Amino acid sequence: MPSALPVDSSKKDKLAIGILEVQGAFNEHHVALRKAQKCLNIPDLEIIGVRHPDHISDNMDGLIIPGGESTTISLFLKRNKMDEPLRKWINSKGHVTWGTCAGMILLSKQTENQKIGGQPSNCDTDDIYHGVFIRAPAVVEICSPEVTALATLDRSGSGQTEVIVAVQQGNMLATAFHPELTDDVRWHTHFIEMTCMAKRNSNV
Amino acid sequence: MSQKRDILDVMNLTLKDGGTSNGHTGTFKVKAGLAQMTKGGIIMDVTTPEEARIAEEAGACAVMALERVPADIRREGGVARMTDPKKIKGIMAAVTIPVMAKCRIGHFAEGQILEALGVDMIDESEVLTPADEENHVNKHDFKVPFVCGARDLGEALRRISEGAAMIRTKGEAGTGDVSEAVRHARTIRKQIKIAQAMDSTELYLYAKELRVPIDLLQKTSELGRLPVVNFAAGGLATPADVSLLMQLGVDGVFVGSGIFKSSNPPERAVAMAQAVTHYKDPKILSELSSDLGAAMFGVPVNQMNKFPTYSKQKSDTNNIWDATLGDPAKFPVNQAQS
Repeated sequence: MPSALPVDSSKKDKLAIGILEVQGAFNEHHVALRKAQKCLNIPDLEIIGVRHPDHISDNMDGLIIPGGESTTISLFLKRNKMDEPLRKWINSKGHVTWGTCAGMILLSKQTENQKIGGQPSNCDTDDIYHGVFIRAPAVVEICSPEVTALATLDRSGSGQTEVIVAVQQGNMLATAFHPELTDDVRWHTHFIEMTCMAKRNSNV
Repeated sequence: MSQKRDILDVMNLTLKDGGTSNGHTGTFKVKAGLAQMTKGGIIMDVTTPEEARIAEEAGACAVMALERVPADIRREGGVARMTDPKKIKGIMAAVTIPVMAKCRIGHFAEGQILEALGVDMIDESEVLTPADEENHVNKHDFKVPFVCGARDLGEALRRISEGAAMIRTKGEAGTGDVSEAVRHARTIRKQIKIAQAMDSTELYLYAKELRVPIDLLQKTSELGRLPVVNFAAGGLATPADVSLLMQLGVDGVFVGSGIFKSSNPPERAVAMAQAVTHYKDPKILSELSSDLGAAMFGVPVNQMNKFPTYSKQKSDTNNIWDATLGDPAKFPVNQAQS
């Protein structure tokens, strides 16, 4: 497998990643992306704050939909006529999208059984990866063969079935937990890598 | 190379730790994280399920379930207490966004009841009548996150040391006058800048002056902001008020009486919710501010002497650490001799 690192410096156009700054933990993603950029040693990475339909353009190679309140974010998108441009952008070739928590809900086709249990059911888990779950969604059923599960949370200890907490479909990545709240930037480096790869493939 | 391997680890990630039995619930990280998810949002005071739905539909990122809004508490007087649990349950059932509720300062029993109800966050609030003149609730004992009011950096860091996962300015709730919220937001900002201008030696003295733990002050000066989410609250009534406070560097806003004491609550709620995201764009704000009907009538803070004030109450007197300032006369005698 050809390494995606470092970014091909002969290419003049630099990588641009947008963060949907409607509501939620968007600053945290900004900081984590900068850290990941340092790890990957990418000289040029532009981060675009997306708050207006005009901000959604083909200049962006990747987009992060942060955690926050899914209800709030989706209402804002509709009210500001950003939902259709966003959907179009996400479905275009070479564009990589990552949704965390609320972002995962926005990327999904259907949800059920929203909001069971309040704060005490939120938890920190650690082992291979330290995941922080806050009022988090879980994938109950995968309805399309194009979707692959990346991470599961084994709950057999408490007698419950395992749940899927990270999925990928083509250039779409979704996680139920919040990598931006931890110092571990592996998910952000992975996302930048995915974006680099997609950008290179679409330029060829 | 190890970087590459790490990324592969991520791809094959499987957590095998027995799930929630080993997962830690209610850690400070999770509590502060829930507050982080409300950033860039607006939290509205509501008293009925109908108002809660209006708030959710307008784009609020959470609601605060109250018996009476602060303007009514101010007008009617009397002792203000925790909201009837039945009412809170009704509001929780009506919306999917997080629901917060207020307990009196120092009233940990009200806190325990609210935690058992399953509210998403508790506001230990000066708007209700304080239950303990000296102590605040030890918020580390709870799995539910707390938000607390603060007028200056000292109060903010003391509340964080007691376990608050989120801070808001106290402002002057129920007046419709934003001046106190501005004063508190500016004071906190100024004191953080003062701390940043100090060297590591001077910080120790400043920590004593503010009566706060040194490690929290060090962290704050390193970050250049409070180590938890900081919202503005108290007297906000228009989209312009929202923009003003957001530009002073807060992470989001609470609106209490400002919405449901105005002439057109649904429209004002939408405008103020939009203003939190568009706070830097005066052009959009001018559209948002147009034709909203009358804002809440309000009481200017400087004409308020016949009303009780929240922000002028005497400052909290608890000394949470005093290790180096103890009275030598009180040391056990035989220990001092040996």
